[in-house]
Amino acid sequence: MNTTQLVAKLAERLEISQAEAKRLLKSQLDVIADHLAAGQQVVLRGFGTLGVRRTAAHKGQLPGTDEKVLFPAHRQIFFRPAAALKEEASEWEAK
Amino acid sequence: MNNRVHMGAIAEAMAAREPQAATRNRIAALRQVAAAVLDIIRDGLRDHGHVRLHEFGTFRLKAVAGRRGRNPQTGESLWIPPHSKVIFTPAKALLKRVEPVHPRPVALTPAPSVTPASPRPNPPVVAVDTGPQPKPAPHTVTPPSRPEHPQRATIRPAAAPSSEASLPPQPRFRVEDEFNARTEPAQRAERPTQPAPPQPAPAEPPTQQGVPVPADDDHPPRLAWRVAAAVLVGLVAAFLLWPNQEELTPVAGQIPAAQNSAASVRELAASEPPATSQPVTIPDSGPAITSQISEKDSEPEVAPLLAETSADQPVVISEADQPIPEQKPDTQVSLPEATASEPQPAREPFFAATSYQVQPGDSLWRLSRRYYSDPVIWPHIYGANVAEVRNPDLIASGLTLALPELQGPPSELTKTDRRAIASGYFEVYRYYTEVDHPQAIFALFAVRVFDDEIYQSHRDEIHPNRIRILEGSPVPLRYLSGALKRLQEPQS
Repeated sequence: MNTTQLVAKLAERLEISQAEAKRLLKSQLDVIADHLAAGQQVVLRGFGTLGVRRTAAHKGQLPGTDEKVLFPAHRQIFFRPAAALKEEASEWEAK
Repeated sequence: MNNRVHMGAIAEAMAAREPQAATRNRIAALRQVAAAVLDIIRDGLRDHGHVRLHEFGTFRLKAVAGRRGRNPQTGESLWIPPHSKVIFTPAKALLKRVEPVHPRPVALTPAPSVTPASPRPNPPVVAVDTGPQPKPAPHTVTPPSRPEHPQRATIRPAAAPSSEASLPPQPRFRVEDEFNARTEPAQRAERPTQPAPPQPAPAEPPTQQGVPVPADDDHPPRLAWRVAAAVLVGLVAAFLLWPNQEELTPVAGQIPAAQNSAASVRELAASEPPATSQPVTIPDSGPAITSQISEKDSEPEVAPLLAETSADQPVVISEADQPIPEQKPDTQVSLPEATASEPQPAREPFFAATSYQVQPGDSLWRLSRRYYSDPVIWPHIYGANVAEVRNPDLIASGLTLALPELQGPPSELTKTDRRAIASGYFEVYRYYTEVDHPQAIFALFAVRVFDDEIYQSHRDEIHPNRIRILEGSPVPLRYLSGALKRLQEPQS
């Protein structure tokens, strides 16, 4: 499913125009991104938590090469599914 | 737990982005919208296995194989059946917002030789560029495109030809080459001039020049072997030369022979060591090189220029490449500073200044969370509105507030941001001292967290007891709220 399909479903469910639905979705994702950029965790109840964590510098290997590299400390975005979603999703079929 | 943002805050921030005022009803409605979006994402995961959100990321179901696990409490072995789990892959755009300058991996093993080695890796790249380019040329005719290639090729060191020398020679040339090997030098001299058309054939004659002559003079038993060696060298040279010839002919029909021969001999000389260790070829090719080089040098004035420009390009590239590995160790060592200072000047302010009419239910804390996506910096608003708002804990609905600009996001406040927030906190301190608010000292803590200079400049206003508390010992972190601790983190 992509953004377009999601917007169509959202418009149908809320009985609003697709343009409006698209704007709302974009606004929501934008707000979440802002909070992530501010280093905060976004708790979406019943769905999961999006957050940023710092990763320490570590050695590694670039895929496909023999080159050993050092990955400098950086920030990573993580998603931790809520218990409810986790349980539901374990039954679903990955495609 | 100010570090965690829930749906309410998201709905509020969404309402803040709308043109109309953020009423309670609207916020509630947007909360429904946000919940519906999550619901649809969940449905999408179930039905499609993935949900791709443009410029945000992808939620995807991932199959997990069954495995034998252990109950960590009892140590009992149990079977975990295969199942699916939800994973999220952030989009590049989202990652960029979280970390504007993503540090790139640094090569480890050649770390000490990064700077001296970087020019070296580059020429091979260029050589590879020139190498493969001529190769397709004989088959697909693209001669007029790059006239500078012959010169480039002549400049190439032995590295490129030798690598090509290992390639299998084309079988269809063998007959011709053998023929050429036995022809007289005179015949060969004629040949290059006449077959100008861009066929591979003209390339061969010059290549043979130095090689086969001694072969005829030598003893019969050796002869066959030498001829074979000569043919091999010739083949290699022909293979190398062939494209050059092709590109040359259309450019300047009058000088292909000389130039080609020069190129051929040079490359021949270059390719000799890897191809054959025969002493025979060297004495002959020696004079040929000198004579033809002189010919060639006298001919085109453009050639060195082109050669220079073509030689310059790799240098530029290497210069462009070099700083990156040099910078990497720096960014890795002092990451927070680098990321904080670099992106700001290029970016537009995180929040542009506006005005806002206070609605019922608003507070400075909530407004800050809504517009700056971080509540802790609410004195930023207060500092800009001290004249209208005396009590920061009570703002009248209907009042119009100025929402000052915020240059960087709360995670990467600029110096001016920090100063403004610190002076806002100092205003809070002033008011709290006036009304004898118990939390006055915490406002001072915050002033020091954001910008110590503001604290120092107002030090004479502060009661000595408070200064003693603040400066007497390191500020115990437990006195700071979680949010302030978080803000202090990148500074210290």
